Amino acid sequence: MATDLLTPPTTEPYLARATRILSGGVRPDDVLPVTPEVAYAVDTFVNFLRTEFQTEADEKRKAEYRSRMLISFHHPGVWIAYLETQYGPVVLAVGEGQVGEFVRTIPYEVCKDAIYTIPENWYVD
Amino acid sequence: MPTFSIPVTYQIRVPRNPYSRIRRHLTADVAASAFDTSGRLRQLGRCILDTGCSTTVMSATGARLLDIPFPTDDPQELTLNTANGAVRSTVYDGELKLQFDACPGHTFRLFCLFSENHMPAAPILLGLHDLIEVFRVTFDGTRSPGSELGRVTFATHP
Repeated sequence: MATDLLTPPTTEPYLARATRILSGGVRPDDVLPVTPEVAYAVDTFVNFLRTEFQTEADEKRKAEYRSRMLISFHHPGVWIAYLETQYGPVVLAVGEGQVGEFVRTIPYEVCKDAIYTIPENWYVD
Repeated sequence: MPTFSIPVTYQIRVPRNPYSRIRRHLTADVAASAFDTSGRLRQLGRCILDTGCSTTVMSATGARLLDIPFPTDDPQELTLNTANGAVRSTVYDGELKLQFDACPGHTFRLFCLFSENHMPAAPILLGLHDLIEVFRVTFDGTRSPGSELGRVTFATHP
């Protein structure tokens, strides 16, 4: 994935932004945007469940799959710290440098809900 | 005896043709948290149960990032046979203290190799030693809603 996707689209310093979000100040524009590729992947999964297993994905399941697709599409193969919110995944730090600084800097009580992971590579269609 | 089970997760790798079995990317992902040096839990998005892996492996870089403790006083050079071929690596013998999201409140210690050459993009791999000494692990392909491609059950030995 292009490296220009590695930095959240904001001019707000990432630690200040992360602190704001972790303190409950999440805004809709903090959430990773659902791109056409991600929307297509989720629709395909839902249709697959319906036709192959006669199963209707509920909103929770769709949201979980969408979240996995979103972090994979936007940040494949790099360390991230992110937060699952009611609006979707919000990325707090990207790359080893930011994640390491995030862990060292943000008080644990503030960031205890953060998830640290390396999203899978986006598949090729 | 703590027991938990997780669905085999899968993604559709090639949306154009999701009905081909080879295009369903199956993984036995286990969400877990690891204890850091201060005894606090750091949430790891996913660990992969890897029956082709001898030991549980985590990248030393990842452990440093998340402040997960491992001994660094006795580095060893090993040739690891990986899915990508033989890889010479500096490794450290250690332990990983984990809690699985599906089994809250229970802490498990697994032997873990912390590798300097673990692929940067690879998550923690849960290998056989000593996972199967701690758990009886059962793969069950029985389909059910929410587990269309089966489940994996972890039961601690009595």
